[in-house]
Amino acid sequence: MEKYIEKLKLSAKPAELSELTVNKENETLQAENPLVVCCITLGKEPHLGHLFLLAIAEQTKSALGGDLPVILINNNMGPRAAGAVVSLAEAWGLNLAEAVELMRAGTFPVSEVVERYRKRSEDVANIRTVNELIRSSGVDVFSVVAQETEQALKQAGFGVEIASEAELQLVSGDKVHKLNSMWSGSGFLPFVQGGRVVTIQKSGELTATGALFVATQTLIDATMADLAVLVDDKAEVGDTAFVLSEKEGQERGVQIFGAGVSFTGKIASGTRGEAMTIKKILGEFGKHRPAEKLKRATVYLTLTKPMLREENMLSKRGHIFDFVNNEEVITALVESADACDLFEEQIAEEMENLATKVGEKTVVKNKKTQKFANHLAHKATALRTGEPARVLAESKRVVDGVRQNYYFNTLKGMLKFMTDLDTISKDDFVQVGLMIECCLTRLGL
Amino acid sequence: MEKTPNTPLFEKEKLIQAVYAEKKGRETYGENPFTCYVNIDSPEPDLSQITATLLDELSSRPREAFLWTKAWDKSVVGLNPKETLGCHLMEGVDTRGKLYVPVMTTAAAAVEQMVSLLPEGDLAVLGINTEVFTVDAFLICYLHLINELIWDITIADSGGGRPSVSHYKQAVESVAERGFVTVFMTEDEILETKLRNPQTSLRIYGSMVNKYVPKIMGAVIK
Repeated sequence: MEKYIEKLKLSAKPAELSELTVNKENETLQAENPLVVCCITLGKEPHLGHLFLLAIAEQTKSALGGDLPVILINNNMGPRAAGAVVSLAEAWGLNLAEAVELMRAGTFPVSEVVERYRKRSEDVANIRTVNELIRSSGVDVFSVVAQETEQALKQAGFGVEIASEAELQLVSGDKVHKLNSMWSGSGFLPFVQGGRVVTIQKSGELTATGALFVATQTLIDATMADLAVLVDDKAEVGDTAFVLSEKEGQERGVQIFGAGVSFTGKIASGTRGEAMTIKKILGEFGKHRPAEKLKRATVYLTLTKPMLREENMLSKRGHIFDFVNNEEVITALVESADACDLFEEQIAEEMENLATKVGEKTVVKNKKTQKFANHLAHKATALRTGEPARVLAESKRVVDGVRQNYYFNTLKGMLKFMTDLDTISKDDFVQVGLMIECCLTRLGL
Repeated sequence: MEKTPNTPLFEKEKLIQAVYAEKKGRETYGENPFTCYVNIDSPEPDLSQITATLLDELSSRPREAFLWTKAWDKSVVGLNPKETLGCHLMEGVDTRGKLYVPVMTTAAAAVEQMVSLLPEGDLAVLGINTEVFTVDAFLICYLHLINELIWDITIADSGGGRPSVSHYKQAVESVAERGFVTVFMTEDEILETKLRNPQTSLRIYGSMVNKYVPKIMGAVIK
């Protein structure tokens, strides 16, 4: 008689492919209309670490060009946001719907919202009810913090716009079904490609990756962006970039690492209040230099300040800028603002010097520089046309602890080139001028 | 006046408690040193393949499998495209386990359709609680009931003595040779069967990790 296990093996069916089939013919990086995105929970006021994150986002946005501003997705959904609402309802004797509505309207001051966020409830049933209220109405329960943050960022010179994740999800439609039609509707939705699994939905709820994917895809659809650059070290950011690219078969999502902050080697987040809020930094910085220079000072600092080295255990948690304390941060930002001004003055001076060297042809002092001079016109065209793949590859590199920037490096190379010249032709002088102008624009200082 | 308990409900709870207390020589403390990862690639996995790979895994590694079953056969239903489909028994500390993404569904799966495709055997009937409807909850119940059957045979073969690896190996081989029939039963039917035939083994879900797994997972009727 045939054994039962043999019958089982005979009746087993061959495995089906649950990977998404994508056309991978066109893998060229397109970035005519890039969108730079970061995601912050505005249940508490953004702090120094977020300032660096946004500066890196601004730096990336400027380097890639395009017209779209940096979008900060306000992560105002999920158990933490709902927990803050439940805590507020309990503290003020409100029912949950009233608490949601009053938080949407910005009735409570920032300090109260932050307090409730810190003391958020863990009542599962109430959190579920509030989650559903937020999901069905798309309201921003952190609106008061979002408004204040947007205002502070504008004063600091940032062009960041804040988008509410709840609103994005409300208008998103079904963005996840197509990612895996086999699992769609089951309450669990994995995106599977090349042996890698990204969980988009589990237990009927979007995961952090799923929520970020839906919000980013909704922004991409609304802005017709051809590339989304997500700035942050978090795993869900890398997973979202992976899904955005792999579902299309071409690079449509890229992760750029953000930056954390430590004080003498210890992570300084805003949660325990070690790192100053952006609002406070703006106030302190404004006592020494014009407040609107804060963005430029921060961007310049991210271009020049070394991060903690790899051999340091802490850096395994990401890219960290280390300071002694908040006072040193303000000093560093003020010095950075001055260094940035000085750098621009130096460039202007070098251009003036160069004007005195204009002659019949370009003559250089050494052979290495000659090679650069020979290809000047070609380099100028490539630079002005924009090279997104090189720009992004460079921004992922760290040399001697310093984050690299394609245009900053080019600019430093140009300064060296200018000092190495004996004479420069009129045409080459124009090309150098255009290249420098382009680099300064793309640095976004 | 003292509150009178609802008799049928009271009886049911008493029965569940009695079944729960009946450990049948299995460990009552500590972590399971092994985990069975059930690799699936769709919400309607091939039950024949899962069953065959489980029995193959248990018969090829009887020492480990014995310890696994003795410690209440912990299973994780997951998705790992880099591994073959079906069951993989691993040590709890094995880092390969981290490659499995736990499957957590909420919607009804075509579990009756899946069961209907299974070949039938004659060693026992596995009666699965009809309240089970998600695929991960179903697989948890199904695998626990197969293990319950194997353990029942193991302790029967040990003749009241201490169950050993060789008894366990024989039990696995016996299940692999003669097989079983899988049916769906209501909770009342499961309890009635137990009351009528004390030889029936019930399996209670103690961990409560998966909220879609009913407390009474099912019965092994011999």
